Amino acid sequence: MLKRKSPNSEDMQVRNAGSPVTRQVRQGFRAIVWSTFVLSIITFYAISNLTSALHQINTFDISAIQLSGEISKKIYQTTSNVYLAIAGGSKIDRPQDQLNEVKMLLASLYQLLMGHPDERVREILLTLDYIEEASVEYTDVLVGMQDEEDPERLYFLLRALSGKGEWLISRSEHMQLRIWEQMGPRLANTERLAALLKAGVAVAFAFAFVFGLLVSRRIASTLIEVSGRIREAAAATHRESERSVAISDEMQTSSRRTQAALQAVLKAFHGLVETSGVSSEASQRIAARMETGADAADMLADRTRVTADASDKTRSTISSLGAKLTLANLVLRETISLVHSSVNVATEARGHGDELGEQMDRVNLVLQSITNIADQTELIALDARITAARSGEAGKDFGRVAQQVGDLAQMSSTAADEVKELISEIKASTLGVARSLGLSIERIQSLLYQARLVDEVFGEIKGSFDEILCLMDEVKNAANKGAAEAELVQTSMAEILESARQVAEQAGELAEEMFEVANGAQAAVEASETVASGIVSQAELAKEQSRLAQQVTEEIAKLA
Amino acid sequence: MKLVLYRFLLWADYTFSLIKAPVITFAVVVAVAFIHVFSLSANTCLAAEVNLPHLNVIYMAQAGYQPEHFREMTREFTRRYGIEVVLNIVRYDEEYMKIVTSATSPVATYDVVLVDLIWAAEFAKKKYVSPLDRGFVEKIRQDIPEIILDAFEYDGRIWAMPFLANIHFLFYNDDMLNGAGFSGPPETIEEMEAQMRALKKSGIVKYPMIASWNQKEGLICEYVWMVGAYGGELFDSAGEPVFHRGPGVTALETMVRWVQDGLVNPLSLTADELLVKDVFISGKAAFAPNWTFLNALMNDLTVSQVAGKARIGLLPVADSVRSATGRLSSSVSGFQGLAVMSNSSRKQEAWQYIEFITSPDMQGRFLQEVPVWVSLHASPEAKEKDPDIDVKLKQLEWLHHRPKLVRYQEISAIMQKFIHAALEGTMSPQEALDIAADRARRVH
Repeated sequence: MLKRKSPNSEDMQVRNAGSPVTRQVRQGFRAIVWSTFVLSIITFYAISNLTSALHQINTFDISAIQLSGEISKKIYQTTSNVYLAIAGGSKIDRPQDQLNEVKMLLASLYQLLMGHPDERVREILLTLDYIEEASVEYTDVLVGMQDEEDPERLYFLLRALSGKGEWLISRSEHMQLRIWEQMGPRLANTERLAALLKAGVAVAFAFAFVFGLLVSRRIASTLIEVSGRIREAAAATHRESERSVAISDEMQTSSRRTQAALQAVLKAFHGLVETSGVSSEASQRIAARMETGADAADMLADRTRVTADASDKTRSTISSLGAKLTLANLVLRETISLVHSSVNVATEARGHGDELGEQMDRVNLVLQSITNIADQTELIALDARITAARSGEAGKDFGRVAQQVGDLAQMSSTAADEVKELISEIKASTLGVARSLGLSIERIQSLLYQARLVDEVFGEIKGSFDEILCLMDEVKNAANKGAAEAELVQTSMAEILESARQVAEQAGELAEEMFEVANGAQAAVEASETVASGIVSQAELAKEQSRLAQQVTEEIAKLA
Repeated sequence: MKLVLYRFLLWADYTFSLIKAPVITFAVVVAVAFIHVFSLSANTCLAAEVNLPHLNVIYMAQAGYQPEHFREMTREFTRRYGIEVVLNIVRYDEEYMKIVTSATSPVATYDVVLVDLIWAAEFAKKKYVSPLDRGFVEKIRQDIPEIILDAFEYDGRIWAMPFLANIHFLFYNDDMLNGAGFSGPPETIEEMEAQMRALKKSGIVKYPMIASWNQKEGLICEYVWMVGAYGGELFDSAGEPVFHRGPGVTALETMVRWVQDGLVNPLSLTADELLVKDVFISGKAAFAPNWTFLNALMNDLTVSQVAGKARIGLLPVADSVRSATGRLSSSVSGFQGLAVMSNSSRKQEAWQYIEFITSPDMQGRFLQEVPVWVSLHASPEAKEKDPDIDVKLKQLEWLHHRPKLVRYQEISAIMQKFIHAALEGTMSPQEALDIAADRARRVH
C-alpha cells in the first residue's frame, strides 16, 4: 500500500475527508477495471507459460521421442527381416537401401534438435552422430552378407549384424531416455503450473466477485450516506444561521463591553508599568547593598580564617615550648640529684679531712719521738766520737762510725723536721679543704633549695601551658565555626544578591512586557471596534444564509 | 509506463483502504487454502494412480543372485514384516533405462533399485537415489571391505548398500589343460597365450577361449581387467582418458591378436556373459573369463557337461607386471548395490527391505555369491557351503573398478564401438583407441 508521504497523499486526505460522490463512484469502477486488468495479465502470463511448456513438450520432446522410437523400431524390423530372409534362404533385397528410412528419420531428428541448440541437446546430437556412423557399419555388414556363401561365415555375419543392430537400438533408446530425462521434470512442472493456474483462476474469480460486491456496496452506501449528510448539513446550517444571528447580536453587545473593559485594563496596565519601573529600581538598589554586604561577609570570613590559622600556629608553638620546658625540668631534676650525690661526697670528704688532721697530729707525735731519738743518738754519737778520739788510732774507726751515726741522727732529725713541716702544711691544707667543702656544701644546699623552687615554678608553668593549649583549641574551634558561618553568610548573601539581580532583571522585563501588553491592549481596543463593525455585517450575512439553507432543505425534500 | 504504475498504485491503495486488512487477511487465507486443496487434490490424483500398496523393486536376471534366490529372500522379508513386494525382474540392458525413467517421473515407479557401480556417480549427481545414512555407513564400514564400499562412493557419500560382490574370474577346463600337458591354470598372460596355442595346436579345442566381447558393457569389463593385467587403468585420477597409451594399447593388441590367431572363439565378438557360460559349460572352451555366477552353474549336472572338470581360478597378469610389482592377478569389479529412489513415497519401508535383504544373516544363507560381509568370509558355514571361497577372496584383492564418471554411459558406448571395431579388424588398436579417447574427452 502507499505510504502517507507518497505523491498522492493529498488526494488521500481529501478523499478521507469526504470526496465528491462522482469521484468515489469513479474510483470504485476504476478499481474494478484495474483488478480485472491485473488478473488478466497474471492469468495470461500463467497460460502463456503453460502453453509454451506444453508446446515445447509437444513439438520437441514428444517428436524427438517418437523419432527415436521409430529409429529403434526400423532397425529392429530390418534385423528381423534379415533373419527371416537368411532363414528362408533368400537374398537380402538391396541391402544398401535397407536403412534408408532410418537415415531419413535421423535427418528429421537432426533437424528437430538443431532448432534447440542448448547444452542438453549437445549430448543427444553426439549420440545421433554415432548412430549415423553405426548405421553405415550396419549397412556394410548387410552388404557383406549379400554374397556370402559360407554358412558359418554367414552365421557370424548375422550375429555381427545383430550386435550392431542391438547397439544401434540401445543408442536410440539411450537418446530417448535423455530426452525423457528432460521431459519428465518439464512435464511435472507443467502439471504443477496447471494445478496452480486452476487454483489461481478460482481464487481470482472469488476475489473479483468479492471485490465487485464490496465496491458496489461501498458505492451504494456512500451515495446514501452522502445524501443523508447533505440533508443533515442543510438543516444544521439553517439552525446554525439562526443561532448565528442571535449570537451576532450578543457579540455586538459583548464587543462594546469588551471595548470598555479593555480601556480599563489599558489604564491599569499603565499603572502597573510605572509600579514595575519603581520596583525595578528598588531591586537594583537592594542588589547594590547586598553586594556590599556580601563583600563584607567575604572579608569577615577571610579574617576569621586568618585568626584560626594564627591560633593554630600559636598552639603548635606553645606545644613545642611546653615540650622543651618538660625536657628542661627533667634535666634540672637530674642536676639536683647529681648535686645531692656531690653534697654527700663533699660531706664524706670533709669527714675524711678531719680524720686526716687527727692522723697528722698522731704522725707529728711520732715525728717528735723520732726527733728525740735522733737527738739522743747524736749525743751518743758525739760521746762515741769523743770516746773514739780518746781511743786514738784504735778508736779511729769507731770514731768514724760514731761520726756517721751522728750524721744519721742529724739527718733523721732534719728529716723529721721536714716531715713535720710537711705534715703541718698538709694539715693546714686539709683544714682549708675541709673548710672549703663545708662552704661548698652550704652553697650547694642553697642551690638545691633554689632548684626546688625552680622545679615548682616549672610545674606551675606546665599547668599554665595545658590551660593555654585548651584555650587555644577553644579559640581555633570558635574561629573555624566563625569561618563556616561567615561562608554561609557569604553564600546566602551571594544567593540573595543573585535573586535580587534576577528580580531586578525580571522587574525590568516585566515593565517592558507590560509596556508591550499595554500597546497590545491599545491595539485590541482598536481591533474590537473593527470586530464590532464586522459582527454587524456577519449578522446580516447569517440572515441571508438562513434563508438559503431553508431553500436547500426545501429542494432536497422535493428530491427525496 | 510511469502513468500505468501510478494508476496501479492508486488502485492498490484504494483497494487496501476499501477492503481493509482483516478482509485481505481473510482473502489470503482463503486463497492459500484453495491452492493447497487444489495442489493436494492434484497430487492425490497422481498418487492414487501410482502409489501402490506395496514396495516395487527392480532386479536383473543376468549375473549375481539368480532370480529364484532373490525371490526367496523377498518372500522371507514379506513373511517377517508383512510388507508386500512386487519384484520386477528385467534384463541388465533394460535396467538402467527403467531406473532413469522412474527417477524422472513425478512419482517413482520403483522404490528399491539395483544399482550397478558404474551408475552410482550419475545417479548421485542427478540425485536419482538417496544416500545412505552416515551413521549407518560408519557401522557397516567395520564389516564391509573398503574396496566394495568405495565403488558406491561419490562426493563423500555412499549411494547404495552393497549387495552383490560380483567379480571376474578365470574359469578353466582342467581336463583340457591336463590333456595338453599343463598341470594348472596360467599365472601370466604370456603363459595363458602359450597354453591356448598348445591347446589349439593339439586339437583339444578349436577355440580355446570364449569371452563376452560383444559391443556392450561386457566388453568394457573384459578390457578393464586386461588393461589392469598390463598394469594400467582406463582413466587417470582427474577423469582424463589414458587408455589410448601404454597398457591400454598393449591389452587391445593382445585381444586382437588372440582373435586373429583363432585363440578366441569368433562368437566372442557377439557374445554376452550368458553365451559365454553356455559355450563353456558345453565343453567348447578351455578358458572363460566370467562373473561369479558361472561357478555354481558349471558344476550343475543338469545343465553342465563339464561338471567336475571345470575349475575357478585367478585371472592372470602380464609377466612383466608380476615380476615388477608382485601383482598376482587382475580382475574387474561388477559390484551392485540396492538403493532407494529419491522420489519413492515409501522410503522407510524401502530402507527396511534393503537392510533385511543385504543383512549378513540373509547373505549367509545364500552363499552362491561372494558375501559383502567380512565376518561371513571366514565363517565355517561359508567354507562348507562354498569350497572355492578362498579363491574368490583372493581374487577380491586384485580388483579394478570401471571409472566413476557421471557421463559413463556415453563414454562406455564410445569405447564399446571402437574397441569392437578393433576386434573386428576394421581399425588398428591404436587408431581405434585414439578416436575413442578423443570422443570420450568431448563428452566428458
